[in-house]
Amino acid sequence: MYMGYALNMICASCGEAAFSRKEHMIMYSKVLSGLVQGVDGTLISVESDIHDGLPVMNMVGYLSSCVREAGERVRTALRNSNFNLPPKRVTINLSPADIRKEGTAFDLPIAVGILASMGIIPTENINNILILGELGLDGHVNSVNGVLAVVHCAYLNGIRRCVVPLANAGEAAVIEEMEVIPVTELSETVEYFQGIRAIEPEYADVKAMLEENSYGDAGDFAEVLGHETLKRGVEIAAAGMHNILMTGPAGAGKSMIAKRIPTIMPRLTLDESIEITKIYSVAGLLREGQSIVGVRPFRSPHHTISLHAMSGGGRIPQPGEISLAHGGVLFLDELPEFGRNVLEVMRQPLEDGVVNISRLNGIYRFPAEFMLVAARNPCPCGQFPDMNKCTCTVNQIKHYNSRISKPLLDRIDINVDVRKVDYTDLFEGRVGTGSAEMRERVLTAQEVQRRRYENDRIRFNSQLDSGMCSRYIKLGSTEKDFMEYCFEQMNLSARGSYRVLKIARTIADIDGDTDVNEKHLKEAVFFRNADSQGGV
Amino acid sequence: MSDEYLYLWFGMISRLTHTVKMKIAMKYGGIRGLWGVPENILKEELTDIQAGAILEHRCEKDILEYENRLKERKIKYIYPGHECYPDRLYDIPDPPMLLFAVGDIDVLKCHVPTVAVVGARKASLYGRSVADRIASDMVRAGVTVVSGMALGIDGVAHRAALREKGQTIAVLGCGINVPYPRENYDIYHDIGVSGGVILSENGLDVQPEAFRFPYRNRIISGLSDGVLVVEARKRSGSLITADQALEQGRDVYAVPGRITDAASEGCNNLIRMGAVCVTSGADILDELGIRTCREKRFNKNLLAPIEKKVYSCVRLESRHVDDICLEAGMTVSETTQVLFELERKKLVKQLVRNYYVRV
Repeated sequence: MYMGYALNMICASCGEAAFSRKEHMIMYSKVLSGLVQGVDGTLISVESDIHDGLPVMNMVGYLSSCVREAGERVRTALRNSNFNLPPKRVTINLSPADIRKEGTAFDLPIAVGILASMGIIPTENINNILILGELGLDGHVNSVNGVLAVVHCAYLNGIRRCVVPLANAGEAAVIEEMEVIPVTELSETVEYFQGIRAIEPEYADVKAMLEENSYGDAGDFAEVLGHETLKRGVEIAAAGMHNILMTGPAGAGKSMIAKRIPTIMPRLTLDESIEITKIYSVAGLLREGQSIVGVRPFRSPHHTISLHAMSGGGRIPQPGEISLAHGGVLFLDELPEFGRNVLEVMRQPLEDGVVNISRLNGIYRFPAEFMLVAARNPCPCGQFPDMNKCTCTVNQIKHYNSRISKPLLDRIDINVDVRKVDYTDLFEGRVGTGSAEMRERVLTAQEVQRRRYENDRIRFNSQLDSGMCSRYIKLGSTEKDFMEYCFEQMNLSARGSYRVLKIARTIADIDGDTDVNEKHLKEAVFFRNADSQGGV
Repeated sequence: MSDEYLYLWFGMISRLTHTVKMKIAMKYGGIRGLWGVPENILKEELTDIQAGAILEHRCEKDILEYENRLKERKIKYIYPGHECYPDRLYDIPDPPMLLFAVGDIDVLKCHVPTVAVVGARKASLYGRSVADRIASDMVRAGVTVVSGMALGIDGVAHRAALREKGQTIAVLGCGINVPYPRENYDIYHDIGVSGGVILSENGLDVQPEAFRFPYRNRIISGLSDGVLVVEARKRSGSLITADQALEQGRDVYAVPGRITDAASEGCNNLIRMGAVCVTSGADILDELGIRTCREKRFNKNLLAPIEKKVYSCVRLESRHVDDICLEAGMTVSETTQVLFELERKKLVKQLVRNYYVRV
């Protein structure tokens, strides 16, 4: 044991064994670490101080029990890495002290901080370096969740170097100007800080990763036959990120179409990708070795999902399905089978694009800008409006339809009824519109929107508010007459007519027209069509 | 005690069916006789339920109070001998002794041809569009449309009549102030304010119960010169109305359906048994002996070429927009724009979302 002491505990300032002379003992050190709140990181400084007194280790700073346990882990890990704690009073403070500290990422910074206070690591070597990692009792550095969020936050605060567990290094390396030092052992980390070991920084070719992540094996729209109306609806929906509801008999091809929607959406930009990766990193859903989410998410939760799994929740809030679908598609098959409260919880996020979850320790904000794609049967037996096959009573159909509340339906821009394809559609060898063709139109429309909304805080037509509507959707006199006609003759509500305008804006963008004119409005009215629901 | 109040009292008894009430009244020499029978005799000779129902309101105070309640709600009542009591009801086997009415009761006095339109509550799109066409054709020719304000065909017929600003009579199976079914509250309201009349044999707050509807049906057929059955399954309430129409000596018309359609089985059976097969409003008007100058059919050559093309792909039977696009050989975007224009010109219509039919 003494050998280990002699080997490692060399005082950084004079080269002599530490504690041999009291005046060389450095008492105080400060290390930078961080934690995740919601999906955003917050920087935490870990202060440690060693001075005379009864040999105990005190940890303060509004700690949860898993952080408190870090003390035991660190003490043992230090010992097993051949560092002995001096028989003195060790105080650790995690500040700011008003944020509740959760998670296991503080083990490594605490260990480094203590070693710096003991004088084993020169304090100047740990300045402005973010340190994250959980320690095993043997001194092994284990991976933690939410690394990207914290590293991103540190980057925004001007930090340019971080030390993270090897398993999380890929994720952290996504931030391009950050020097990411992957570590596996405590002793290795100490040597790195002492300057006696060099560690190659992790590098990730993010551009290549985004390029290489293809659309996967989701299939092509060309394989979907005989649903040209729905495909047009989907195209418009994807172009303006509008929500869409498909109604149709079982086996008509609703799910098949939904699965293909990501294939016509534009590739992720780096910013979007980081945003999504942060969410997946917090949720611990990044696969081993995966550093970035490069494909638009496609989430299709089963209808038995609970409210908290949908919206996000838990004692320490975790992102729910609506956040995991951020930037992509949330597909709800069999919409009326979902619990009513599960559906209602989506109302506010559908409007605002974020979900706020309040807990004792504060309000957690998760982004939730997703495209809602929902599918349902027209009635419990699925055959309506074919009265020869439909065996449901009028009341059953009404009851079934009433399971989805009006306010939720109101937030769905595009409604399409799907019919069962017939034999000729399937086997007469016609080829439908393919993904590539649709994607091209979607990309054109999104590019137009990107340029138009450059100075606004929105990205897509579906996010236009009423003020922006009048700014960006200029109607001529013919179009105004048309809207008046719709308003009066078709019982369009105020909200309904805004929705029509937004869809018309997207259609005009697809067609490459600067102004919204009557033909776009006509098509928009056709696709909005929320009120002529079922003929019962 | 005036006749008026006696009839009203008799109508207030809602816990017994019409048949039972009439049987008891006959036993004691009519309604006036029943009014005078001492309580102990009724209790002895009738069942507890029957005696209870008859004695419940047998005092003048109750009747006056009831009349006030009717007045507050602007509900009138007519009885045999009343100037507005429809003549047609005098010659049916069991005419109602009292009818509560909301709306314009003078409608009942008019001697205009009257046709009942009945059919399935769960009607197909075909049944709906046919009912709508025939009802509006008839209303335009001045025929009053009678129906039962139920879901499906009944509602379509009433709505067509209201839309064409014609006369329509709704006969309810529940209480006069109970707009059932809820979905047709608009009809209940519109008839009340726009020149039609709502009738019911049942007084205030009587809830819809299955046994009341067959009695309602005899009034529907009784009020009309003929009964049109648009869509009926093999065992359907509409067939009860048709049976009663035959008993009352009214004509029965039926709209044929495809032989494989379960929803039209009842209608096809009626035709086989001798009902008049009807394919347009004009067929019924001919039967009723009303001469119509045939309306100028609209000329489809007046449409723009593209509209003509799309219009020719829309059928009388509803079609999904996918099929229309396919047949017209146009993109979805173009087709929907043209369909909107045709819809605006009232040439086609969406019965259910995305399914179009010719008007």
